[in-house]
Amino acid sequence: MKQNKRGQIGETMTWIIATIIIIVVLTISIFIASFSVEKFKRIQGSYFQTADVLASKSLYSYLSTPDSSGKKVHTQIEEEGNLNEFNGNFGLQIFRGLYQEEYLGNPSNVWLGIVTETEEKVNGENCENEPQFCILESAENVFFGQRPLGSRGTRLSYHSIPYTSESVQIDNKRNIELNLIGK
Amino acid sequence: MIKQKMNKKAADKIISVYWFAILFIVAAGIFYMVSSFYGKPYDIRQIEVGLLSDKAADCVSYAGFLREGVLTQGFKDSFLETCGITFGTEDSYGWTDESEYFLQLNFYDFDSYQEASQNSLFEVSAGNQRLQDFCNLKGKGFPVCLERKFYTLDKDGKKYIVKINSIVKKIEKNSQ
Repeated sequence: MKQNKRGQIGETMTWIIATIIIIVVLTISIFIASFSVEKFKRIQGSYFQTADVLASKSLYSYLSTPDSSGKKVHTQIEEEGNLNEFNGNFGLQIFRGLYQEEYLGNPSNVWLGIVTETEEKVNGENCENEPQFCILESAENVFFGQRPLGSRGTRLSYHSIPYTSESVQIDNKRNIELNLIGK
Repeated sequence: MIKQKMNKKAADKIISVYWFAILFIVAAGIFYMVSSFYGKPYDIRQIEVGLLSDKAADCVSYAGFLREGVLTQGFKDSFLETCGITFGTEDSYGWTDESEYFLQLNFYDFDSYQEASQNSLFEVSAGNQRLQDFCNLKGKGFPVCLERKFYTLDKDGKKYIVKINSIVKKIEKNSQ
């Protein structure tokens, strides 16, 4: 009779503990579900951002701006191959001035410079049939420094880090590129 | 022996009731979790303000230059129609009584522009102006605000900074 009672108490304890565990696990899950609503239901624009419309407009206007002799920035870069005193400082004023704060407040997250397409892959082979593997080389300039994502890379590796890139063609091989990283 | 058997039957009954209770609690818990997650709408106001700002920028500037007629009273008067923007919302929470949106463009002279500049050369706005008062406040139950700028030129080569301020309220659906 006594043994029976002991057995019953043991079984009851097991069920009570099991019930407590079930309720604790459920409560934790409910809390997680409620708090994750905050995180997962607020969709930020940057999740889908592939371009920055306003920065792109600023870039086009920048390239159309003439210096005191009337020569546009686009023509200056085309002729000189890199940024000069006028368009370099002007670029800093526009792009770091307007967008640095939006792109994590880090000056090196805003880069403007010349990117040149080469005709070879990383292994030295010709990339004519696979342009996505062609090496892109960026030129360092004294105003924005070195391209933050590396001075050499393929088009694929250039776009591996979340960033916005606006590019305007100078000639067949060269582009002027604005990189905005982060956000 | 008979008593023991009866005891076992009673214990089994209690356990089945217990099982039903646990089943009910677990089901109710799962139901609550699913409904609390999927019952709330996605808050896309961050995207909305971004789109408003992009649309307004597209409306005033093209290929690096200000569009013709932007800095005129006529543009000011028909701002939303010209830009193809509608501030319509569904008829709930009294949203149709007062606009849930605000959009403002300020044009500053590039050479004299400073971050704290108050006096713009030209200003155009539409929507509910009162929403601006909430933009400096931090917290959940406030409208979403976005202030962005871009550089542009007019046909004569005059340089401008355009500041776009876009606001979406809709807090009743998105800040529960």
